[in-house]
Parts: sequence; structure tokens; C-alpha cells
Amino acid sequence: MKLNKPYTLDKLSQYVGGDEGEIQEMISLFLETIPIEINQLPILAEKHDWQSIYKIAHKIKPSFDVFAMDDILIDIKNIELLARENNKDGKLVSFIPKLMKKFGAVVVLLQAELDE
Amino acid sequence: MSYFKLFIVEDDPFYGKLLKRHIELNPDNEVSLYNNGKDCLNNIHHQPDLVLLDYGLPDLSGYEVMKKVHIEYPNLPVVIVSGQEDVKTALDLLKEGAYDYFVKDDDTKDRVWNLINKLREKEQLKTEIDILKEEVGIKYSFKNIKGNSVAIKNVFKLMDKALKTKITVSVLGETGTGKELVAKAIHYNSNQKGTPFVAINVAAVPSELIESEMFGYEKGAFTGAVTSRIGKFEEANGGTLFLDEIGEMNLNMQTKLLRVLQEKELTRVGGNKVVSLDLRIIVATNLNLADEVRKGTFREDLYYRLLGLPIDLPPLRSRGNDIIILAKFFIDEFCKENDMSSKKISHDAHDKLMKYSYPGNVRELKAIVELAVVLSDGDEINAMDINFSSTDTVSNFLIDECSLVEYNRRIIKFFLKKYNNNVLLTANKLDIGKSTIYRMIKEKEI
Repeated sequence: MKLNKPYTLDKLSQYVGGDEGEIQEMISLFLETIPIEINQLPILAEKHDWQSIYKIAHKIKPSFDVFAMDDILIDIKNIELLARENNKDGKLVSFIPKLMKKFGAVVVLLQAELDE
Repeated sequence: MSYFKLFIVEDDPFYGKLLKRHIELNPDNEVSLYNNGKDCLNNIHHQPDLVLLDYGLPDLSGYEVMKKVHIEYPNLPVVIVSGQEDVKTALDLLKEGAYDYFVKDDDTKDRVWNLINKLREKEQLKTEIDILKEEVGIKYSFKNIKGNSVAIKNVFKLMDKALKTKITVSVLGETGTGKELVAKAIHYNSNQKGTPFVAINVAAVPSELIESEMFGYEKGAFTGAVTSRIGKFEEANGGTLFLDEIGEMNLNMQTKLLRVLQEKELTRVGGNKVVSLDLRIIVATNLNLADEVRKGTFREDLYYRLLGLPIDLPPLRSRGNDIIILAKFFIDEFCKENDMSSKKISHDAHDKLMKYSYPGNVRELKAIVELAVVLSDGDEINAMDINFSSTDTVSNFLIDECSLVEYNRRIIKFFLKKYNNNVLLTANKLDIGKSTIYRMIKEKEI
């Protein structure tokens, strides 16, 4: 039975011309680089460094789009928007744990793709 | 096909590498990936064909990087790729010189792919244009103006002097002497050879259109002006404008031309914007402009402004053996163009060619020898293959170069035949004594 994953590899596959090896390599790179950025978010939020949060959200947004992680993408876009406005209504902080939880689940699934 | 070198400047290593992999699906694309602006600038001397630049970089903004790139390579296309869907930012960047602005989305990879193809095609076209320009330069090199006569050597000397400056040149000579060829040779052998050479035949443009043709016009300037259009002057700006048959220009237009030449600027018909001009003018005419000035059909002030360096092209009949040199050149050229083996000129054909007066000059000689090649059998052109179609009957009559006695005999014989051997009428017509004719008949001269 096929699991309903919160992402697809279709776009990624299109980018690399359907090469399986390349897909694996790109997933590895995603798992190497993106968690570092995501893990920065709660630390920066604690410091109220909204502009750095904005920059990270803005930077990693397209990578999530490549995996069509639409649910996560909504959270990132919200974080980006709220951080840009310096979290003036205080809602930003609530999005970060939600994002981290969803991202943690995705990391496990992507890791499993590599192990298959 | 050569490599297309591309820089990607992207601080997200995943997205940057993904784009690199995608672009490199075409093995002719060579991508260098940089994570920050400084690394890009440190390597810009490798002269990529395109830079894809993320707007938000950790060290410098995309705008700063683009500005620095353009200081060294103003024509290098820089495309901003950003997650920012901000129209104002995009417009500002485009105004500041960005080649394009792509938002990172599902279409990015296709847009980049199409852009590379477009730039490759553009580069290919540019290469083809450069090759063609080179070929045109070779075509109009001095050595392609044939001839060894003193007269043509003097022309070469003057042409050589014209190369060194942008002095106005007036090429004078009968029709068919090669005035445009000389104008092109001056342009393509001068420092302006990479710039446009634009020719306009003043006599061929109706007088009511000449102004808009030369100076251009703005949309709505007159009925039918549905779009703005640049004129020949603007087209030739930076290069050479060749005004052929300048002597045919009407006085009204002469006044306008004089003003443009004096001010070195023009205003399009129906427009207000002043366009500065920096170009060489070469004019040509088969009229004697000094005579036209005396007659009042050509402005004296314009005459002196256009005279510049006058180059008088000799008529072919005064160029002696150049006739044969040119004939051989045209024969070889025509045979080559038509996949024929080359033909020689027989002695009698040689003599016949040398005796003719060529009122149509080099252009006429070319037509005569091409026809001779077609009419001739075998590998030699004979006298009978050479036909002069000149309308100048006196020239045709004199072609045999007979003695005066022989010409007298031929003339009298012609008139006798014309007037049914009526000696009295013939004598009256030629204003000679009838006894002269009777004597010639008696002595069987006619």
C-alpha cells in the first residue's frame, strides 16, 4: 500500500531529468542544508531577531516548493510575512513549533527514501 | 557548438545546485555556482555569457552585485532570480540594467532554459553578422578595385588619404565608373569598418518623401505615419552615409541638408527631440556640381560643405589596359558564379574591347563580357561574341578607328544608299561638290 506523503518528487525529478542517482543526491543535500536553517528559527525567535528569520524563510522557501511540501510552505510563507513586519502582532512564534514538527516528520520520510 | 558559460549566484545551496543540475542537462552549458556576491565578483573575469543572480544574498544585495558586474562588463546579461514577488523591486532592477527578473516558482527552470536558448541564438546571430561584416570588408578591399592605370592609381592614393580621417568625400564621375564601390571601399577600409554603411540614392526617392526618408519621422507626423521610423541619417549614425546622385536633390531639401550638416544634429519630421549626429558623409554625382551652382540649381554653401576631398573617377575609355584587366576579372567571376570553366579573350576580341568608348563605363563592360561568355563556344571569347549595345551611334561608328579618307568613303556610301544613289541630293546633304562623289565612283572608291 502506498503511503500518502506530504511531498512529491515529481518536480525534483523534472529538474534533474529523471536521473534516480541525482534525485538521491539532491535529497541528501536537502537533508544536509535545510535542517540547519530550520533549527536556527527558535533561537532567533528567542532573540527577537525577526529580520534574520525573514531572511531564512525567504531563502529556504523555494526548496520546499521543489518538493511540493504545500503544507509546510504555507507556514514558511506566514513566518516570512510576519517576520518581515517585525512580528508586530506577535503571531509569528506560534508558527515555528508547528513548522518544526511537520518538518521533522518530512525529514524522517525523506531519510527513508534514501535508505530504500 | 561552443560552451555557454553561466554563473549562478544563490545562497541556498540546495536550490542553487538544483538549478545548476537542471541547466547542465544540456552538456553544452557550463555552470559555476557561487553562494555569495563576492565569490561571483572575484570570478567575473572568466566572462560568463549569463549571470543568474539571487536578489537576497548574505554579503551584498543582488543590486550591488549587478552594478559591479556591469562596471566591468556592461553588456553581460544579469538576470535577477528572487523569491520576492515585488513588482516595484523588479521594475527598479530592470530600470537599473537587469536583463530580466524571474520569480522562483514552478516556471523558473523553463524560463531559464528558454532564456539560455535565446541568448545562444543571439550569440550565434552575432557571430554570423561578424563573419558577414568581415566578408563585406574583404569584398570591398582596395585590391578588389581592379586596374593598373595611372588614372586609377591616383584614385587609390586619394582613397587612402580619405581613410585616415572622417573628412567628407565627394566621388565624381560618369555613370558606371564605380562611385558606390569607391564609397564602400573607403568605409570598409577605414576605422569605421565595424559601423553601418548606409546608402541612399537621392534621385530614386520621390521629392515629397526624401525628407522623411533621410531624417525619419514620428508617429502621426503625416497621413500613413502609423509608427515612428528612423531615417537614413540616424541609421548611419556612427558610420558612413552615402548620398548617391546628390546633384539631383531639390533646393528645398538642400537647405535642410545643409542645416543638418552644419548643426550635426537633426529632428525627425513631426518630432521635437534633437538627435546628435557623428558620421562621415560621402556624396557622389555624375553632374558637374560647379556648373549646377552656376545655373542656380545647387546651393553654393552646400557645394563647399560637401566637396571635402574630391575623388574624380576616370571614365573607362581613359583607363587603357584596365579594360582588359577588368574584362578578365568579370569573365572569371561570372564563370565561377555559374560553375563554368574560365574563358580566355582572343586577340581580335581584345582589340575590339580596347577600341570601344564605353559610355556606360565599367558597368557596361561587365554586361558586355558576361554576354560574351554566354555567347561564346569553346574556351575562348572571340570578337563576334562581343556586342556593343550602346545607344551612342557615333561611338559605335568610330569604333573601327579608320582613316579620315575611309570614314569619308563610308559616309558618302551610306548617304548614296539612303537617297537611292541620287548624287546631287547626297552632295547637298553633305555640303560637298557633286564632282567629288563622281570622282570617287569613277575611281571605284565607293
